Amino acid sequence: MRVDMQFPVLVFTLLMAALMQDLSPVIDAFPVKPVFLTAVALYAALTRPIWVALTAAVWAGGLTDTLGDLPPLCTPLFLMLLYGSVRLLQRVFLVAGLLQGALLTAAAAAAQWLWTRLWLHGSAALATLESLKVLGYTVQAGLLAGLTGFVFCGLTDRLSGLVKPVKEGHGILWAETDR
Amino acid sequence: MKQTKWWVWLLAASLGMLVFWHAGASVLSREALYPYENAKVWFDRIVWVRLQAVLTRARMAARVSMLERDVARLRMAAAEAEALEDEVARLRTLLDFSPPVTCRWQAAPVLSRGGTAAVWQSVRLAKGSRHGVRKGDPVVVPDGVVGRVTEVSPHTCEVMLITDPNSRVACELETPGEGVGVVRGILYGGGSSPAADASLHLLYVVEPLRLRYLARDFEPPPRTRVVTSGLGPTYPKGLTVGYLLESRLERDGLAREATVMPAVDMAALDEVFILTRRGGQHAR
Repeated sequence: MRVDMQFPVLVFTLLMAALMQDLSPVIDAFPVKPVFLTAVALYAALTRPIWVALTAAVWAGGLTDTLGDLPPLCTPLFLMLLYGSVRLLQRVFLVAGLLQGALLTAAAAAAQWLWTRLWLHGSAALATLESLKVLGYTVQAGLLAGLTGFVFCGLTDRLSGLVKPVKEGHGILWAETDR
Repeated sequence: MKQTKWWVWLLAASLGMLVFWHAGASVLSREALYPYENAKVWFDRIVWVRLQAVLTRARMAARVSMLERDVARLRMAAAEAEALEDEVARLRTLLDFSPPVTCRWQAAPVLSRGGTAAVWQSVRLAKGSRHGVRKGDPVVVPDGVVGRVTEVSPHTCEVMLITDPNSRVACELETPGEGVGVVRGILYGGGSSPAADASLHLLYVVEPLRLRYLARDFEPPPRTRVVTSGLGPTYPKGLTVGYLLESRLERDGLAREATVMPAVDMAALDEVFILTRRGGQHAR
């Protein structure tokens, strides 16, 4: 059976995202982690077929939970719901561009933080000024993760050959049609 | 079509693994990252430190001479401690006391902090079951107690810091005063449960710890040293936990509660020591 190139590319991008997210420091000035794993899952949601994108969501969520000591299925469920929302919004976000990626990931980061807090502590943990402050930080972290994640995933796709240049139907490259 | 089927099966297997074998998935993911995180620790120690030494030669020379003086002083203290240890062993034999259970100190570099979610106050260390580390082993630095091991994989372990809201440590005050006796309490990390006090506990904000269930009639002075009492199953007796700031009566008036500043700067952890057990329990 021919190996689907998407499998090793997915494994590689998720591993690098998990490494970057795990190693990124948490400091007073920026007390949240950039959600690189969520960015990779969003990139897969925009560019991959349904089953590949759902697998990416489950793996990204699973890595977030196992490495972050969260309850099982907390983040995979969120990312699968996120995939559904992204598919519904596909008319707005046609391509996996940098700006779209950064904005999507910023919104997803804030939603993911709220989801995790609700799952762990219930609604009482959200009704504080501190929560609003941290929500602001998560949006910034999401922007950073979205930009970095989409650049990295796009580069990996090009290097692996998953994304190829478009050719004209008659076989002549568009760059040569004016000669 | 074949490839779609393959992805469907992979998705089902992944979900099944996360639901029915979450602990195993946790071990696998930590072990998968371990070589790369260890490589980063190696890079920081070997390459980055040497690069910094080249760039800051003058400061390094002063630091080296300061460290040499510290080493000489510590060697003297170690020699005195060895002599005392011999005397204690001799007296134990004379008085027919049972020999103490000893611990082994295992140095471990810090790989990462807070995991991928930064929800809990924890760190990951580059030592695991292959090095004799077990769940529940205490983790310390020369300044005091850091936390205890909560999860172990072959090459890594997760440590819950004493500043985590889920942490509980059995403590006592070092020198409460004449005629007072031993004053003991339970140290709570970070704050109360989110339902009662919905404030967030950030990894590096030094939230004072709370020492609860102290004797109500004794008001401890500020800066009293708080140490482990050795009564719990985890920490040996006498390890520094922190320093008392202030105390007040609890709401019901039956006991006293104090705020304690941790002795260890959790933001500056690079290398820690794990007390791995010999003989099934820690020294008392």
